[in-house]
Amino acid sequence: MIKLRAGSTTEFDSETGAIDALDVAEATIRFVTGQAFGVELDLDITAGNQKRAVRNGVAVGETVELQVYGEALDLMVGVILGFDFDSTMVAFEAFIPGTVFPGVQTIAPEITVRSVEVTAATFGGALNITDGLLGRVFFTVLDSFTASTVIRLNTAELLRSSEFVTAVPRSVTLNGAIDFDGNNIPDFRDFLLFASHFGETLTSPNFDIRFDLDGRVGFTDFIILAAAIEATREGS
Amino acid sequence: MLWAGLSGHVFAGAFEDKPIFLDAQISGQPPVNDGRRTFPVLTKDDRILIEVYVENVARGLTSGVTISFEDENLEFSSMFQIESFDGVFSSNGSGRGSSISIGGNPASIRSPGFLGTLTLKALQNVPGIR
Repeated sequence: MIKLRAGSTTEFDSETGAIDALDVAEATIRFVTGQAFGVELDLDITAGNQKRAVRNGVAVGETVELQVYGEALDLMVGVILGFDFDSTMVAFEAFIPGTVFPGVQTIAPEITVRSVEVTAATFGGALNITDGLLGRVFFTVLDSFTASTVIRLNTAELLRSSEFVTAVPRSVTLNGAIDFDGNNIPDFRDFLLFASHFGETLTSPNFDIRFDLDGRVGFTDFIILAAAIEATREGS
Repeated sequence: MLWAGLSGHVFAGAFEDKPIFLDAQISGQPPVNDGRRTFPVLTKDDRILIEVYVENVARGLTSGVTISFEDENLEFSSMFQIESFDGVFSSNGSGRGSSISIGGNPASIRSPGFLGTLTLKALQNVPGIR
């Protein structure tokens, strides 16, 4: 359990100039076993959970798919997922419930300036499944996207029997420019650095996710890199 | 905490003894204190977000807050790093040990007393209780 400390948890009152001690009697958080479920985010759109939390080379106008996988879902009835994002960088587009739900039902997402909350539930009885795809969430990369942005899954709440349980928050990062050597320009130096990592996968000892533009450091990555280098040359 | 003014009398501000709450449920906009006080057990490098509320504030213009966790035998600071605070004030960096102080231009605290969201990073596995 963590708890705020009395006497040294204070707030400054701008009107009186007093440093006020707050009442911390109820300010506690407990960590509990036995009721948890887990979520993982995956930016790799191929089937299965690759747990890919970073994507490079994201382009303006592109639709990014974010897959949400659940663990320890046994006896789940439904789930609420709340995402927080920078609305100057990306915009929420859609939510499609995942394959774990038989007879799935959903309600229109609740969208605010910088967050979206989605839900899905089964009307076919509690789940008899442990792991699986909870849903796919789609974001559009806006014209004002620059460099990098983070999409956070702040709330993951599951109804199991009659009890709501939560999962640890997760996040993913979308990076814009393809730039491996740090000069902010896709160029031949990036190509050579890419070549030195070609063929590596998540299990390779020297795997570096910066070079992995679509799931593994392969030929499709090379095509993406080549297009970025040529686009830079044409734009200069 | 009472303070002696230049005139010699002792005074307290609008926040004195007001209850502060931690909420493990991150809400949308506007923030709402859901009263959730539990997290599942954490593994090293997990991050959790906690909403911080000060309730029963009749008037509330503040320019700084210090959030301090109990840390007997370094139980908190060996387990967590305070990464950031984002709300009426935002921190540019992490807290030191078990405390974080954030300040800025005077800001009003509106109902329901939302101060901001605290991000903690687990420095090791955090065991739970049943």
